Amino acid sequence: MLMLTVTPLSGETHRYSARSVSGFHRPLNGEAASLTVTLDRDPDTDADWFAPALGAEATVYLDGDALINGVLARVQLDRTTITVGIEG
Amino acid sequence: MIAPLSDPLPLRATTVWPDYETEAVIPWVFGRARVTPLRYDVSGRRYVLADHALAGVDGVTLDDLQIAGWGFNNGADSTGHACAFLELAEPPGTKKLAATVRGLSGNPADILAALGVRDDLQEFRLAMNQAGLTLGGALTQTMTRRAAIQFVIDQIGGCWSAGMPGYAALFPPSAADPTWATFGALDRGDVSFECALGDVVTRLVIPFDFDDSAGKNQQTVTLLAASASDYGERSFTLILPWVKTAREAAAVGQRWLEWRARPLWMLTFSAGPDARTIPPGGWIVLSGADSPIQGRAVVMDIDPGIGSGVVKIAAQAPAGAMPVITIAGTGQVLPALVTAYQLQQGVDTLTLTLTDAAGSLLPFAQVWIDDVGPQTADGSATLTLSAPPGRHTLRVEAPGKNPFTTEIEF
Repeated sequence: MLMLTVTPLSGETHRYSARSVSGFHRPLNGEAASLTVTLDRDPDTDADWFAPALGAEATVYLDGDALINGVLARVQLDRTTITVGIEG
Repeated sequence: MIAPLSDPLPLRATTVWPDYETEAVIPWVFGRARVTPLRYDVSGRRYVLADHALAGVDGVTLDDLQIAGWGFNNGADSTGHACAFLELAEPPGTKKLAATVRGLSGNPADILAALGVRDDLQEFRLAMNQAGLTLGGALTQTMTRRAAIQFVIDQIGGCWSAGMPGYAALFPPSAADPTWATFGALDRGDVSFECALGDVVTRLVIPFDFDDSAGKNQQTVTLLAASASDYGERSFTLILPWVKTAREAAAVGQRWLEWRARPLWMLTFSAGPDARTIPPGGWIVLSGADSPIQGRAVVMDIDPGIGSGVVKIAAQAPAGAMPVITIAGTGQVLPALVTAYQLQQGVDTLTLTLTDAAGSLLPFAQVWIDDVGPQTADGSATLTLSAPPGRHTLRVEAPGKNPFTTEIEF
């Protein structure tokens, strides 16, 4: 099970079910580790993403194990999906 | 005839004169600015201040000290081109010469007109007057017309486009400006919204008031957005060399930061051919449950879809409430430290009297000669040094002043 948690600088942790991850890499030198998480749009959580907590601590879990712990760096919305970029 | 924006500005260089000291652009001066005069003849007493007539000269300095022996006149150079001339009573020698001048109109609309943009800038001129924005600076480097326009527009936090009514305006547009179209969920195709942490700025440092003669900005103002508590302190430096007052710098910075101190949605979508008439820089309204923007956005680019019938629009709008902006601090460059010295006749000693740029004494200043010291001046800011005849390096430090190093010879 894929899960994303977001903890704003001021506020409580929010949890979201994620559909997929992509682009996960950990280069030896240069850029920070990063990945992209794709979520389905959900009317119950849309409001969270309409003013996204950019810079918030974000963690992606796969079956309970943390894949990456970083910050919320990018958000892209279309009619059906939310694509979230996380940089660690 | 309309000149292309990719053309260089028709700035002239000193090489148009039969004799010149250094190859340099003869500046265009707008508003009030401090410039370095360009030596014009062999006497060392005649200088050119600008490549056009000036409204006046407010002061002339040698090594940052005001001098009295000068005159100014508008005339023609050896090519018959209008120039502003400075005449000195005595050649400045090795001292640094600078002049504070009043040039062409500093209204940004008038500057754009002087850059050969367009003449129908009345609306923009009025807006600048109402906003109290006047610029001051000198164009001393060759650049394209486009780069010059962008530079001027950046100074006021504005935007410009040949497709925009009035050509130029402040950014974001005035709340009183019209809404050009409303797009609900069913009016938009291929919609995509994107925002990124790298675009968020919550602390803005603004260096401004550039001194062309000194080659640096003279003041800074720092603004802080309350949204730093949500997004962290994310700093950016916005350089406004042609802005002359803290009030104007803070006004430009506040407008800039109100837009950028929160997630900034960049959206793209396609629309029907009715949207073709929306100008860049115009307001549109977005609605629909799928949109993170409920209200106005500014059109940043529009492809009218000639031939395809599909109009593509790029727009942007910040998310959430407008943050409160406060002035976190102001600063200014310390005045240059200036020394004057007297040579005692017949002995190997040097008596220095230390003053600042305004001529005020600097008691108890410390002096190093050829890196040996320090020796401390007395309460009258005078100091007697022993040194053999020849060239020596002096370093002077005084509380609250920039350290100053110079060479002397006696």
